[in-house]
Amino acid sequence: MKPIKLLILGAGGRGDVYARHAGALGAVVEGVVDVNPQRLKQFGDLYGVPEEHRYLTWEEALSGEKFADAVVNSTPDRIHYPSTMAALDKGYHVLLEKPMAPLESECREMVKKAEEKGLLLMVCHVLRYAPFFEKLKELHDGGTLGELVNFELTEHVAYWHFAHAYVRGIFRNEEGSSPLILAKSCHDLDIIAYITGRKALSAVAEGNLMHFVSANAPEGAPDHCLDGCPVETTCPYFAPRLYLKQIDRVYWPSTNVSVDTSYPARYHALEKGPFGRCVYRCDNNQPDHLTTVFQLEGGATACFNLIGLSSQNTRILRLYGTKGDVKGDLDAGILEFTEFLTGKTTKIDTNDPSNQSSHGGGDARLTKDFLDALEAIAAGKVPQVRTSARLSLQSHLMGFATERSRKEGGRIAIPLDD
Amino acid sequence: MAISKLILLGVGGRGGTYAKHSRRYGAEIAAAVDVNREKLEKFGREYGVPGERLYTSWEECLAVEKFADAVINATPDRIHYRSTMAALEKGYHVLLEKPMAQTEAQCREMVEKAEEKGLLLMVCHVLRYAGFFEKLKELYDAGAIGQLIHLELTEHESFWHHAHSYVRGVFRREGESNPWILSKSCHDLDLIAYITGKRCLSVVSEGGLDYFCEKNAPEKGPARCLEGCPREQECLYFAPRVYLSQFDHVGWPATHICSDTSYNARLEALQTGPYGRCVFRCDNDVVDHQSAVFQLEGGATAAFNAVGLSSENTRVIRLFGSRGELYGSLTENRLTLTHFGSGEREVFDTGDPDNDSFHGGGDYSLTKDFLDAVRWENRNVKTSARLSLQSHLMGFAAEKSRKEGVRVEIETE
Repeated sequence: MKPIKLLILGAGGRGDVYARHAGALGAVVEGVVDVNPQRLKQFGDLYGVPEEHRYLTWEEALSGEKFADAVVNSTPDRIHYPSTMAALDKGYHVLLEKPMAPLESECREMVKKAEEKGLLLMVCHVLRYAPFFEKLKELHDGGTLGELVNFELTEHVAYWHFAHAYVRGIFRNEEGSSPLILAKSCHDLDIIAYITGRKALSAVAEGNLMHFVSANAPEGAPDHCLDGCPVETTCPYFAPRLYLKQIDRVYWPSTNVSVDTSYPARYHALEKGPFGRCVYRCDNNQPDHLTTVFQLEGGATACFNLIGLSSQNTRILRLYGTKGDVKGDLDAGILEFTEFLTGKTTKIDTNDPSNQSSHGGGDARLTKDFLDALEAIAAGKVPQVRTSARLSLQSHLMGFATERSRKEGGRIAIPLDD
Repeated sequence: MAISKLILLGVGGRGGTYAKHSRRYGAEIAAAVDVNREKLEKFGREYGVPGERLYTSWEECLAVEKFADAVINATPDRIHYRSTMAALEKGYHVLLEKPMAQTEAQCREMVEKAEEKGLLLMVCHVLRYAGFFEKLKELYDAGAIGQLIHLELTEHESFWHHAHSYVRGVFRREGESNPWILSKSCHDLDLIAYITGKRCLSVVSEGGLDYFCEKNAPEKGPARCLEGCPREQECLYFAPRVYLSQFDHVGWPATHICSDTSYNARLEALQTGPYGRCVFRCDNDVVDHQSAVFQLEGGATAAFNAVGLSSENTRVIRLFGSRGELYGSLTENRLTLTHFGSGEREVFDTGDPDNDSFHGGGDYSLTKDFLDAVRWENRNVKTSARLSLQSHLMGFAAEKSRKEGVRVEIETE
C-alpha cells in the first residue's frame, strides 16, 4: 500500500500536531504552505517536504496539478473557506481545523461542495476522541442516565491563556478570526450536540468584554510592559513573567511569541510585538465571558458558560438524567456517576498515563480516524468517521445563533440543516 | 425588655421552624393560626398557646385588636399578600416566608405599605444568614477576587425532593403558589443580588416541565401507586417506598403527608391524598428545570441553573473575578479561594458543628435578627423588604423571558 500523501496548509502549532501524528502513522507530508519563510523552512526540513512543494501562499499550492491525497487545513480562520473550496475543487479530501469558517453561509457551502464532489471533509473536533468524552458518550448512550434533562458545561480558560490568545494574540479580534464562541468553544458546542445526539432548536445568550478594556488599565501603565510599568510586580499579565522565565526548555505559550525561541528573540518580540502589550491597551474585542442556553429537541436544555478569567484550563460538566446524574472535570479526567435508585456513586478514571498527547489524547486518534477513512476510500469502501462535516455544521449553527442572541437579545431559532 | 409576643400564621414545616427558633431566643408564641385544627391544637399544646388564641382563619385572628408585637407569616404563597397587608394595617411587624407574593404588583404594595407605616417587613432569605454565604460575602466584599466578571450558581434539587414538593405537593401549581423560580429559587436570586451588591438589569431564561408529565407514565399504570402499578419495583417515586419505609424515626418528607405520622395514617394518606399519586399523572404545572442568565450592572453576568432531577440537594457556586476565583458547595460547607498570579489556594471551612439548624444554620440566625429588630426597634436588618423586592423582580422577569423567549429588562427601584 502506498503511503498517504498530505498537503499541510499552515505550519503553525496545529499544523505541526497533525503532521507529527500523521507521520507516526506512516503518512508523508508531500507539501506545505506558510506565509513565514523561516517557519516554512523549519517545518519543511523537519518533515522532509520536497523543495518544489514548499509554498508561501495557499493559492499557489492549490493552483497546480493535484500532488497529494488530502489537505490538512490549519490556516487562520478567515482563510478556511476560500482555501477549502479551492482544495475540494481540485479533488482533495480535507481535514479542516475548527471553526469551519466565520460565516454561516460559508460553512454550509463547504459542506455542500464536499457532498457534491463525493469528497471527505472532516472538521477537527478532537475532543470527541478524548477518552473522557468517549466514556461520557458511552454512559449517555447506554441509558444509565435515563432521559437527559439538562447538560451543564463550563469551559474554564485560565486568565493567562485567555490573555495570550484572545487579548494579545491572533484570536483577539472577531474581524481577524471568528467570534469567540466559535474560535474557542466550537469544541464544546460540538460536544453538546454529539453527546446528546439531539439537535439544538434555539439559543439565548449573554456576555461581553468587561475586563480587558482600557478603563481597567493601571494608572501610568505604558503600552508595552517593558516600557516601565508601575504595577509590574503585581500584575498577573506582566509579559516578561509570562514569556521570559523559561530559558533551557521553552514551552507554549512562550514558544508562540517569536519563531526563534531564544531569550533575546523573545525579549525583542516583547519590546515591539503584540505579546508585549499591556492587556488593557490592546485592540481586542472578543467577549471575556459568555453564557448560552440551548433548547434541545425533546425538551432538555444545555447551559454553556465560557469564562476567560479562570484559575485553570479545564471543562467542568454535569449531565442530569431521569435515572441518574454524572459530573466530570476534563483536566482531572474523572467522571462520577450517581444512580438515583441505589444512590450509589461510581468514579470513573479516564486518564491514560501512556498517552501524552494534548486534547485528552484526541489529536492522535482524530488523525488516525482521518487516515483510516482515506485508506477506506482508496480501497473503494465507505469511510466511517466520527466527525463528518454535516454533523459539525450543527455545532457551528449553535455558535452563530449564540452570537446573534448575545448581540440582539432574546431567543434565536436555529435553522434546521436541511 | 419585655418578652416579644408573636403570632404565627401557619403551623406547618416552616412555621414550626420559626416557632422553635423564636422560643429558643426567648420569644412567646401568643397566638397561632392554621386551617388544620388537629395540627393547630397539637402546636398549641406544645407551645402553651391559650385555646382562645388558636384560630382556624387568619382573617379572624387579625380582626382582633392588636395583642402581639409581630406576625410570622408562613401561610401558603397565595395568602401572603392579603394576610401581610392586614397585619401591617393592624400595626404588626412581619416576618414573611419567601416568596413574598404571587405578582410583582403585590410585592411592591407590601413594601410600600410597610414603609408608609414605619413597620418592619422582613422576608425569610435564610441563606443570607448561613455561615457559608456569610463567609462568601465577606471575602467578596473584601476584594478577594477583584472585579466580578461572572457568577455561576447551580441549585441542585434531588429528584425525590422535587417530586415531593413540586409534583405531588403544595408547590406543584403555579396558580396556587408560584412559578418554580420564585417558590424554589427565590433564595438563589436573592443571593445573586445580595452577594454581588449589584443591580440586575435584564434576564434571558429557558426551561420546561419535561419529565413529570403524562407522556412518561407507565402504560396501564394506575393514578395511584397503591392501586397496583406495573412498575412499582423499579420506579424511583413509588410512594410506599418513599413514605412508608420508616417506622420508629419518621423523617421529612414522610412526616409531611399527614399530621398523624403513624404507619396506618400514612398508608391512608397515600390511598386518598396527593402524595400517593403517580408522579406522571399529577396536576402539576411548574417546570422541572430552568436556566436564567442575568446581566448585572457594570457588565458582569450571573448564570443560574436549577435542576429538579439531581442526585443531591445542594447549591454550588463559583465567582470569577479579575484577581481570583471563589468556589464552594453549600453541603460541603467549604469555600476555596484561588489567587491569580501566585496560584495560591486558601480553603475556608464554614460549617458550624454546634448549629443543627437547617439551611446551613440560617434559620436560627434569621429568626434572631428579626427578633432583635423587633425588640430594639432596629430597622437595619440584613434582609429588608426593599432589598428582597429586587430578587423577586428577577424571578418574575425570568419567568416572563422563559415563556416569551425575549430578553426582559428588570425595572429598577
